[in-house]
Amino acid sequence: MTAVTRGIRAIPGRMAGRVDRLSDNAFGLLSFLPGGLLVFLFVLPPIIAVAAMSFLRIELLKDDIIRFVGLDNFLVRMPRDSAFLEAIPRTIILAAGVTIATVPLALGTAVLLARTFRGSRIIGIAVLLPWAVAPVVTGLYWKFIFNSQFGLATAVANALGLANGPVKWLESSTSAMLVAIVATAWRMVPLMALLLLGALRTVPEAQYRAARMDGATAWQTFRYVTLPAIGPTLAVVSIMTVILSLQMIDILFTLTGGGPGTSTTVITYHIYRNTIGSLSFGYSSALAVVLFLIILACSGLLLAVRYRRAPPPMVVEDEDELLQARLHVGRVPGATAAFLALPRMTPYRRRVRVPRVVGKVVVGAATVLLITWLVGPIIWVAITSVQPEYAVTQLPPQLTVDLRLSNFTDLLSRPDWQASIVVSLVVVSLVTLFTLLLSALAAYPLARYSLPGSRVVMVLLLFTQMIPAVVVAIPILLIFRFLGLKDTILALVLVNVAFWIPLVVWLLRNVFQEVPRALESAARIDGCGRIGTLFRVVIPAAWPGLSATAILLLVGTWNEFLFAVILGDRNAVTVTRLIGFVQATVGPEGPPPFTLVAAAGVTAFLPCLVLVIVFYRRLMAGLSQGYVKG
Amino acid sequence: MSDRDRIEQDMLRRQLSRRTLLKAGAAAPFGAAMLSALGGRVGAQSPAAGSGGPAPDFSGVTLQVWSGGTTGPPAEKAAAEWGALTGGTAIITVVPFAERALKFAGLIVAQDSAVDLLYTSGQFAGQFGDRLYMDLDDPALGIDTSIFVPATLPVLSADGGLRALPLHSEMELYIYNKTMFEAAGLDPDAPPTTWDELYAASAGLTDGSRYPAAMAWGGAYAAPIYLVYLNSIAGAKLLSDDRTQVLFGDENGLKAFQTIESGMKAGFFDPNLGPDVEDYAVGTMFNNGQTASMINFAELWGYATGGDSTNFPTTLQPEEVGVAKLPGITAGTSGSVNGFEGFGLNRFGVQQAAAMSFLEYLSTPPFQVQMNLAKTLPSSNTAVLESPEIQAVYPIGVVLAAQGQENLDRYAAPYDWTPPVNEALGKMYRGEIGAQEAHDTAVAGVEDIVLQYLAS
Repeated sequence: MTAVTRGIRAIPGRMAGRVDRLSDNAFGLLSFLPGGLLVFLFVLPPIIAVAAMSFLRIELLKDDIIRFVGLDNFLVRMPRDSAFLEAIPRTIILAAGVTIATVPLALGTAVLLARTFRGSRIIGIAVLLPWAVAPVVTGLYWKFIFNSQFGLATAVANALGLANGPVKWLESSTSAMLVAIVATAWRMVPLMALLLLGALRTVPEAQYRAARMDGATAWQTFRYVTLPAIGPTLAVVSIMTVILSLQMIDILFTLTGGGPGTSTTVITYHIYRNTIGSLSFGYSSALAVVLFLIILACSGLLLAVRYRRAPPPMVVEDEDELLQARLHVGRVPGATAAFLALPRMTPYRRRVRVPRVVGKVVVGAATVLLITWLVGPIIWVAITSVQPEYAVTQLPPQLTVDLRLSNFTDLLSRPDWQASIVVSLVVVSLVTLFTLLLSALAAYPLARYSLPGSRVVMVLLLFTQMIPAVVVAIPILLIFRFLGLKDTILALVLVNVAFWIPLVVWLLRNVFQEVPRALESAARIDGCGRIGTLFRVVIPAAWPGLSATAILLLVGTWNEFLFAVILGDRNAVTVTRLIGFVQATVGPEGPPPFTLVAAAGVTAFLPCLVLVIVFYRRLMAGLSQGYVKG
Repeated sequence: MSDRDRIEQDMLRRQLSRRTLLKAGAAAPFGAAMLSALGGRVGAQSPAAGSGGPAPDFSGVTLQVWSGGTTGPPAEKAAAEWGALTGGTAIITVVPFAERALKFAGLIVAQDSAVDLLYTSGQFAGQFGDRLYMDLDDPALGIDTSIFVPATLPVLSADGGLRALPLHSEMELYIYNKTMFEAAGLDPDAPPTTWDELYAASAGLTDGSRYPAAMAWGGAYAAPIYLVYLNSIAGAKLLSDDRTQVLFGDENGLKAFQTIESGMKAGFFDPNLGPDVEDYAVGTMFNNGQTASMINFAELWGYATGGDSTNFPTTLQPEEVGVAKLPGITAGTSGSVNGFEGFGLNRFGVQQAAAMSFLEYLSTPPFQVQMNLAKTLPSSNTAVLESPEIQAVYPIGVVLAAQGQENLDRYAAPYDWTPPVNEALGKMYRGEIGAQEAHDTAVAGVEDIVLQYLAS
């Protein structure tokens, strides 16, 4: 009896016994059912509604006439919609810009995170922080930084002599788009860096040693060893960045509002305007379908890269083995590419050796710049939140040591904030708990058994992530109103759990696939039933990935905005929404001070900050290992 | 004792009798009497008494009111008072600006009766019109609309009916620093009344880093500023009343662009203001002496003169700040854009009698006086604004009333026509195109949007 299975040899109960007698298919179906049912009830209907509405004419601001128009929305209206046609190149520019900015920076961040040095944990936490900031808050942060009159960027530009006085960052079409790209990349870099970190950790150390033996420089090692090894993941990260950029709206919503003019109105923003501004549900659904197809094409590319049979990394433990491998390069799987890429194969190229000091200075400066970019906005907003208003609304800012916590005490003493904190905590806890439970049950059979149709199920689950959320908002409202659950915590829990499940099933399937089958076999041999094996063996073994997913859920649900707006009125208001309430409060004293809005942004972010700090190691381990390997 | 305290005490003392009066349908004479006592014009009928009978008892009725941030505090106060009068309960929920369109769209789609009264601005009235708001022009409702600042009513009308009643008055005015005007050789009590005259004074109003005028120019603010010019031209219109035709493609529309361009070339406007500069930031600049004048909403007068001492370290004395109707393109004309908000009835609501009662209460002269004296918001009632009592504490009330006689239309529509205009003005502002090209591209852009709307 193995140590693992000792103590779990409890005699299965009646229910567990029945489960054990089920066929794999039946068990898979039973296990998938609870989570699948939620998806079926709350995710599929809105998506089907969007697909159906794309063939209808629904103009609720004009009339109640709903008419079947076939493909007219696609073939007649869309080609004539100049705003849509103009949004296409903007969307491409934004997606390309974000990808070009995100991938190298994420790679740089991953390389930084891969190193262990004094203070590496602090830097690791710091670079993760942008991911924990809610998208709507991200827009506010960057808008404040690029305020033409007294923004930090304006102050820096003046200090460097690049400008004299206010700078119209968000007024010019070009600079507004650039700011949007910078802000979007800022939030994407940490997550992409974690994925790349996972890939970096799969590169065998022996390859680096071999490169060093052959006298390769750091750059050559990176160019010829690291990059080829992480190539497939790099491609996946690039395509994922494109997909996320295509769906991005929250940051633009608060940062540029689609302007100036329409210069940052991308397709998702155009869909939002047609859905909410014009109540053109038929046409906006058609636009959503088109965007879905674009994302689908990108996703197909992603899957092609993902499942392409990449050469497995060559595992060599010592120099002897390396030598053997070198001698039999054609016979060792995956070795050819790595060795062909080594510097020794390019003897005719003249090496430019950069002095170590210069290299260190350049790398150090780049690191400082990267960290400043990632952490600077958060620190600046935190500083703003404790300064007097006049101190941060001048050019240059006149910071004082007269730090004030009054904004925080003011916010936290308000009954609406207290109530919302409770609502958010309850929603986040329940969503995390139920999503993990239901997703684990659904993901386990998909990871372990060759169930008929499992690939189709996985693809369908993936499809649910490709529909722009804004178009499903109204159908969701109708569903929950029909159920009488509007403005309840239960509604927020149900909708969040249902919409998280598809993504989390994907993630957990990868995590479960990493758990050695031998563990399960041993448990089963020792008499542990299916359920027991899942909860006593598989889940504990997959705990790093599960806990990372839990943190992903906690942060993501805390920051969720759209469902919170559409379903909450007065009794189920979450903290992220309250930032909007703070901004909306324009009384006799004028709009709320920037410092108060900053304090609201910091307050809403604090729980995520705590989570990232406390669970940093688990997050790093889980996110960078479990998901990438699968 | 301050005026505010006195009025509040007066209100408290009269509360019981006022309830009785309302129930007896006698609020109108009460309001009229109060206005008379204040020296204002009589003529305001209490909407609560519009039906002529006793106000119904709404005990046990709970109204749900969706408010904006600005209208939230007075609505809360009104809810408490209305509750004391009728026995009903009005729950005010502030819906943040960013969420409003989404939430309101949800009401239409779900035909939701859960909300009784809804925040309304000119934009929302034009956008949602009869799809969401009840028609308050219905004679059966007996609302006397003559009490309101005249220009507010067309703004809140859409689809052939009045969609809301204005809670307060708010519009762009010309606010200037009297000391700087005097130093420039201008009469501080009588600023120029045409744009060209003002432009001509630019050199005198400029002082190093200071420009003659600041306004929130870029982004979403540009189109309303354009309307400030267009609305001052007699007979000029941006769109037809039914919003199906573009009408600013004529010489009037071009003239408005040309007048703006002249101001830019004359150095009248501060060229450094970006789209992230909102009206409040412009107010801060004015307060700090960084501009000699501003085209801004009336509420900024309050901030500039000490309404926000926390955030405005420098406070101008009210007598240092002049407020006037906006100049026109030709002498004797003026135009502005509205910024006021009000409330309308949800057409799907099922408690419309109580909702109407609360809506009417918000318009009663006593409440409007109280709201104005408390410096919360200026009244939407012309007589209240012009009354000596209000003028004593809120001297720009009379300017608001005067500007409110002019065109304030913001041309709200079920589609968003502003992006092409914003873009054209932005390019002109940056010197990339001239007035003619800006005009042509803006007109073409808006025509395209209207065509697409019609084709939908």
